[in-house]
Amino acid sequence: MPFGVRMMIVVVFMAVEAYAIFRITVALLGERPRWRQYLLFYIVYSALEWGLIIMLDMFEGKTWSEPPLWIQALEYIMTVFFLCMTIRHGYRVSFDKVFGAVALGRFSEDIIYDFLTTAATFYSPVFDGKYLYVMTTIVLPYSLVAAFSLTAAFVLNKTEFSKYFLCLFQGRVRSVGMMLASLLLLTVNGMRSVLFPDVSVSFIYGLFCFSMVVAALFCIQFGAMYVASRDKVKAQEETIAQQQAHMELLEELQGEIRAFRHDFTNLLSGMALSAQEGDVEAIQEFMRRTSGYFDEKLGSEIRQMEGLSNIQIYPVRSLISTKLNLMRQRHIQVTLEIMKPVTGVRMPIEDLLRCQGILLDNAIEAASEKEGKIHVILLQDVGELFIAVANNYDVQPNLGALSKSGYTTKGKGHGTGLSSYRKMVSRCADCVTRTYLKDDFLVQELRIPV
Amino acid sequence: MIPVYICDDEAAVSALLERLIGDQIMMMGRDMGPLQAVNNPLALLELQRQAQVPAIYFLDIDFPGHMSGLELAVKLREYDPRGFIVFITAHDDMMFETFRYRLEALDYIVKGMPRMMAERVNACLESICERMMNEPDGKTMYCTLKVCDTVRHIPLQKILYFEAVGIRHTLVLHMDDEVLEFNSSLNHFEEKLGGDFWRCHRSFLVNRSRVSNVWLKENLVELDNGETCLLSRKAKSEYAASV
Repeated sequence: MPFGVRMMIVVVFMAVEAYAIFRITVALLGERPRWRQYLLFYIVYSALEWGLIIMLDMFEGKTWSEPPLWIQALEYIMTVFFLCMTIRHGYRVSFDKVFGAVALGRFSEDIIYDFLTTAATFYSPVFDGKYLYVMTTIVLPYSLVAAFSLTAAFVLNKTEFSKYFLCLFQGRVRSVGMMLASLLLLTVNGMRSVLFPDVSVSFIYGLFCFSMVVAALFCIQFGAMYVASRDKVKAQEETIAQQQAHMELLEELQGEIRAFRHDFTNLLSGMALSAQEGDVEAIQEFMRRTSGYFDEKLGSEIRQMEGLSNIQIYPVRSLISTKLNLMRQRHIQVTLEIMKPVTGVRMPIEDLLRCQGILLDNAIEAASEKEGKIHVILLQDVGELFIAVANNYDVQPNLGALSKSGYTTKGKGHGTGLSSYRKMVSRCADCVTRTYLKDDFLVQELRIPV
Repeated sequence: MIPVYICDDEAAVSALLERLIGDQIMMMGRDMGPLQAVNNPLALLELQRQAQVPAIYFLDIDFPGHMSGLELAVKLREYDPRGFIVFITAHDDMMFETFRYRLEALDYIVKGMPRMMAERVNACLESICERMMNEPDGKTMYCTLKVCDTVRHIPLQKILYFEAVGIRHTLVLHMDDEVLEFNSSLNHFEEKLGGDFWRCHRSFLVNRSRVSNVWLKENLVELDNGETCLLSRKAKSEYAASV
């Protein structure tokens, strides 16, 4: 065969291999396969493979048969790493998830391929023709790999496996565990040949691996389902807590409306008398007195509820309403202003929640004992979310000391809130914080790009 | 003289305010004027560019069909970060704190009885005068800073030191009564501010005029409010040589 044709065939096979990995990875992540991403992926993949081939060629001359193990393992990890970067670039998913998905995709593709090639060589009858042999041992396995990965992707999409898969990466501990597992998957082949050098790769072995993969997939699915249901329960509990806080607010409002109605009927009956007598001055006086009355009585509660309903990120809404409840219990007068809908920011939601929680907790702690006042402002404008939390104080805080880590008014073991707040903010690109004193209020400002 | 602008689309309110403010300026002999009233935001933006800043703005909260008072104020602030903004509103349940924190609005005036409005106007002008008195005079140097969409002019006297933190280019600017954290680099400010600031450490840039003590043994630079910055070996030897 001429050199060009051989090259063509290798290129096509690499494309098939890359496509299989790509489809499985994307299905694991629950994203749509896009051709441009695939192309990028393919280019990186083939560049790495060719690089490896050339490197081995230079390394061992023309005589190489099997590359040394450590190179194989390293190559494996390297390819997965670069593929991760490519996919992460295209789909904007965090690194750990992509890493897990690519590792799993690559591993399953490899296992399938190994299995199919060994199966093909095991079962194919001995042919005289070279082309038929090529057909059964190369073309057939590759096309089967492609078909298999497509079906796998289809099944993964249909069962919405990505939801469960992504569940496995929630929280630092879980994602570290998953990263380790992925790393293990990548090196398992190498480790096997180090630990059991005499076990040769055979059809039975391939079948065994294959069934192990299927079993592992089932395990992941069940584990993730369990985790997902537990998270769901937690989320529901949170919603219930939030709704309880909301209900309490409503009840309070109702009580006040009842009182207001009572007052108002009294006032009106007095008014009716003056009206009958034609006492214009008294009526004017009444108008002046009552115009602000309703607002004074019910304004703040109604405004707070309006503000809360403007927050469209439910966890944030729930956090703020719980904190408002806490402030009410401590008899802190609170002004909540959320003029425009708050829809989302370019910061992980967990970080946003923790930042917001730290700011509110600090304000509650630091607000004046006797007449605590807190202002909470959220304003989502073009390009940024503006958050300001302000509280009055008994003793003027020292901003210089406040910015040192470990500052606290509560003794040892405290003072981690502000420093972790600062850490989270500096992790988020283009976030700006500002702390200042204004009109006897300590103001903490945070701007997050949207 | 500080120019004063009124922007309200209701002619009656606009005329009333013009009269009230004019009277107040006359009566108290304040250093303000000329007083101009316009009825739409775009005209105000144009007028603002022609006269000096800072200025005083009395703005209606909502203009039907035009940009809202909030947007107008954001635009005005871009050009005049130190100006004084007072909002005029029909109802007093407006979200004033938002305006106060986001735009550093000064106060608001509720449309209604002329007598009450006059009182409010007077209070606003009084507090503006007070603020102007406290502001450093024209000779002070400013450090111009653009953070997000807001431009700020910070008097150099107020600045204590800059500190670089973390791996991302995060700068913490320590001032009297304020700490600001944003993305920028120390080198940028070192170049921009020149000799008045001293790079005493890889991650510190201090205002020379605020340094009270240099503790060579402890490798610390103490500022006049008691805060300390680190002193690097290189800066120390330079300092020792110059003294």
